[in-house]
Amino acid sequence: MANEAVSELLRSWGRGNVRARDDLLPLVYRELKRRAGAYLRHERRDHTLQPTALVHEAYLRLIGQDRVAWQNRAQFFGIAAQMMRRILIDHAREHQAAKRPCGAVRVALDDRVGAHPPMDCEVLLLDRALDELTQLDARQAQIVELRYFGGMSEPEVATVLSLSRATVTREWQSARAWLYRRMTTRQGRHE
Amino acid sequence: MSDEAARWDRVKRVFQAALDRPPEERSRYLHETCGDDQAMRNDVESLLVAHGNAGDFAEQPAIDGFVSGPVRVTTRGDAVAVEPVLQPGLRLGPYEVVAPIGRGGMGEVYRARDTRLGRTVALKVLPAHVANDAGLRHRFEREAKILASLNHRNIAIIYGLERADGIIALVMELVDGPTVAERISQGPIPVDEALSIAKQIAEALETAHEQGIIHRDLKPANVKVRTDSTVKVLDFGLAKFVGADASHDAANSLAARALPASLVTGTGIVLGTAAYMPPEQARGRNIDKRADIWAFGCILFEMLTGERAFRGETTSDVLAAVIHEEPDWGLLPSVIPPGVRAVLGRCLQKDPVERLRDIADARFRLQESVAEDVSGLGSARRFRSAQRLAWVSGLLLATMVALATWTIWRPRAQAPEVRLEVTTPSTTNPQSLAISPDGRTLVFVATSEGKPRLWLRRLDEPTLRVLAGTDNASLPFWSPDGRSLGFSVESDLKRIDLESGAVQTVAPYSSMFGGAWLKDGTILATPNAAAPLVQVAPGGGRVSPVTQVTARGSGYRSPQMLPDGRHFLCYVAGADAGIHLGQLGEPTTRKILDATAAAYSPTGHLVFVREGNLFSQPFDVTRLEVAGAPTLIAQNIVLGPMNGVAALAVSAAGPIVYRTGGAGPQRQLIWVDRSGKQLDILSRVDEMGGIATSLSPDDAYVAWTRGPANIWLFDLARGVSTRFTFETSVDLAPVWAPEGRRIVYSAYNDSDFDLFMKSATGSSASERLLRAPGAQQADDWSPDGQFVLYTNVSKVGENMSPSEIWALPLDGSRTPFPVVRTAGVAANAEVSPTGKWVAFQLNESNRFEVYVQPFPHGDKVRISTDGGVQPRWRADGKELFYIDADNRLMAVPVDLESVRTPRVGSPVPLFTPFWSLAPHHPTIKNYSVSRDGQRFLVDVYRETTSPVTVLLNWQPEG
Repeated sequence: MANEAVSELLRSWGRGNVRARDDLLPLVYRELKRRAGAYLRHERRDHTLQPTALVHEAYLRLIGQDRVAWQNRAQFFGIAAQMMRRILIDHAREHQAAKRPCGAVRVALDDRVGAHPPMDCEVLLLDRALDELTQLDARQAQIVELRYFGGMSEPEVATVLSLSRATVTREWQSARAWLYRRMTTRQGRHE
Repeated sequence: MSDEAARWDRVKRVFQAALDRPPEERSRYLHETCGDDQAMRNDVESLLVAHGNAGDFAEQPAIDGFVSGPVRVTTRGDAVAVEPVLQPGLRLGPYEVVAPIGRGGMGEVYRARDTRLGRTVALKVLPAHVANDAGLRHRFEREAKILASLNHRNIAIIYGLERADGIIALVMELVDGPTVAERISQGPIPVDEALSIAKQIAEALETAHEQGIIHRDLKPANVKVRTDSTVKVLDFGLAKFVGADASHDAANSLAARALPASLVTGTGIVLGTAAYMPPEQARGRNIDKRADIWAFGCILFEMLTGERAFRGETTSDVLAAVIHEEPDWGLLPSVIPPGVRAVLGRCLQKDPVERLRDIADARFRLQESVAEDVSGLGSARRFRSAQRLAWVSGLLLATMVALATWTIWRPRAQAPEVRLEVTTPSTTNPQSLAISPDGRTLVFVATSEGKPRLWLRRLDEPTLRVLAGTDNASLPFWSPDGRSLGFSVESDLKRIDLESGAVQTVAPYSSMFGGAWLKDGTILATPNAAAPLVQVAPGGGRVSPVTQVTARGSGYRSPQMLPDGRHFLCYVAGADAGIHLGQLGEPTTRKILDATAAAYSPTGHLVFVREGNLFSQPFDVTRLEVAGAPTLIAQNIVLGPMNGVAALAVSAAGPIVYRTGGAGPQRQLIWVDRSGKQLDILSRVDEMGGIATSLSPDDAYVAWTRGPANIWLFDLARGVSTRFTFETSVDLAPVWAPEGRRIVYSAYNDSDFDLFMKSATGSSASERLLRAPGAQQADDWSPDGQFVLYTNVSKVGENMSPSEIWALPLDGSRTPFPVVRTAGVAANAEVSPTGKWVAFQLNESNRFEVYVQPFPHGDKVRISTDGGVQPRWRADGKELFYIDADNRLMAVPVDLESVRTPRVGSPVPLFTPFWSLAPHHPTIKNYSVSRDGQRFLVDVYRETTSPVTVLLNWQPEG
């Protein structure tokens, strides 16, 4: 039943019904969280499982099988990346809460003086910087979201966004340089 | 768009354009582009710096960083390390963990199997603090790439990094055998052997130092001796990532660094290392390659004496000895040649200024001292030798000297097999590579400034060089002297002289499937997919066929000369497809192997690609036949768009190069809009993808050639392909009837391409429409359905053979008449939607231009301004598209119907795709236009970045 509901919502969204998208979000979020959670808690000892596989798996479970038009699938991956971002940010916040604030780590990322794994901070800082990038360049921010949070490869991103592979590469390079600069130096801020 | 967003849009464009340029040109580019806008320039420059520093920042999905396997917490002194623990059977990518081997300088080391290549490797798992620290990780990965380029038989090779689930492991050559430390623990090493080991360590250092890499932690525990006496130096350059040291090393990875004060406090790690640390490092000063020379001296001393050169109860004592005391020279055995003593003295000079500057000096001096020793001028051992040899004549003595010297210093006959990965810039043409006859230089095609160009990489240097004048180059091949390269561009076969950089045209057509350069300067070339091999006389003169095209052999590709200079290998398409053996002067060839590409290896094997995998099989050069069984060398070789081309080359000196990571076909059919933006990927085009695609009038189907040269129909809505022709002939150039129910195509039978027609539903048998001398290639069908236009090529299989455009009336008479007559090449006719005009390409002026003329006859009007091929009409007849000399897709507004004199607008470029096939060949159709002229179906390459593997000292099993 859930499968049909999701398929129908996707189709409905594909026809332009924006509300269908909002109805879809909690379903996808719950499913991804369940799967990603197990993954993050190391319950999965399947070392071949990749983040994209995670999304595919959730997709197959929600949709039932791989028969929805590609257009819808592309939309689904867009949503999934957004959801993965939320899940990972939540995860990072929980882990990071007890430790030092990330402000200090901003310097650490640049100077490499922090011996502590700043993965949580890297994710949280990147998330914040990405919000700023969205204001500047929404398409770039979306590419980063799909790649970094959604775990998608460049060709997959190209397909989802209907861009050429070369465009995705170029946009990714400049977005990544912008984010890195933003996160490691004061100059990153646009005065 | 906000001001800020608009500004970012400008900045990122300049940044992207700067990034596309070689680093040395960026500054000039920024100067020119930014002008007085210093703020913009600063902005872009800081982005370029960020790009350079970012390493693999954010390249791995975020979730990877959170996930890790079980860990072990270890303490060494006050340092606490968290290390992942791998269980046997665990898979990391293609590597399966077999068993832990022990602890290395950085962390746990495991024996593992590479399941792809069937070899055993060592996995060195990075400590958690490196794996989880984004910054350290980036630098480590950058470093690993540099270290992986170190290629010397006395250096344990780093194959690469493997990461899975937050674990990062360095994949290294597994070296079996004791370390020098283990050997010394059993007492001094015999002088001859110690000198042989020292010499091999010196050679390893020499190679690394030449590339700017310092070992930094050279000690007996980092040197292994295999059972065949080959010495392997381990852990080059990794010292800076060890333990607490790592997080303090903020300096550039290759620059010298100061010893952090925290290290001089007495942890176990330092104790092991301090004994080999030069005084300047013990004092916390910067180090350079002379630190390795000091350590080399320490090791040599320790091998000869069985005792450390500098000793002490605690780290502080050891460091004090390093700084203040002399080694106990009296411990050295009395039998060592005096030169060795001198070398030791120079290596262990406390002041780096006084120390040997170059490890090569140490090697030479040791070498000389051994020679002197044996020739009888010095030590006790020399004295005994001299006594024994007193009666021998001077000549014999000299021979003995040479022999003895050679025995110790000769290169190892059995150098280990090495697979070296060379990363290349991204490329649309990954199958184009070649290795020089001396095995030292790799040439490949990769994108530079948006164009495919030839790049050179000397294997002994880490630098890449782009060859100017090689835009759109493909399938390079070396001259036998290694001084020149032959290569194809769209419509020419060219050569470049590497020393002068001069580029010359050898023949006025491309060699689409590679070439071979004979010793006398003759070049074997492959004009097109269905052509015989031809030979171009030295200096680019006369062209004559070498082989003969028949149904059994309908296309000769990728010739490779055998060492006798008379026989050659090539791929042959047709009924007898496979690798054939031919002989110069003989038009027929003989099939010897089922494979799509092959080359001869001087080990006496054929190295070949079958179903995407690389194999070898013994080859008997006298009987000219393969023998024995094939052995797998590597999997997933990148294949060219058509059979006969694969990313494989073998040097006459032995090295084999190939590119893996095929990841499916490189070509794809995509819909793009007028700006070139990709709208949809329709299909990956497989190996034998068509050389011409044809869109049905309702934009619903694509007809193309695929498989063993039959025509298939691709249903765009359903994404399904169905086979349309089933003949054993080669079927090409499908053209839809205006009502979409019939298709005309060309089929090759026996000796000519004839025109055939068949119902598009495939329900009826095909009907031969026309048989005429030469080859007929279907071009278009007039909108009223009355005429089929075709190109008549006078000589089959010859590139750019004269061709004319003819029309075949489909009513009663079926007597064809000429539409465009020329002594040159006219091709690719398309009738306007009104049926009153015909557009075509013609090379009256040396290159193709697009023309229109009234159909069937009248004066022609030139449309293109800067070269043009493949004209296409928009369905309303008001716009023409074509591809210009720069491969740009152009659009021209035209008004031909409402006025007496045709009005032609100015062509404007729309976009430049990476066409998968050179558009300027008259038989190729690279694109179709939708009826409304808003979308284009293009046949393009995608860019890939898979690495090239260089296989050195290949030791075949068979």
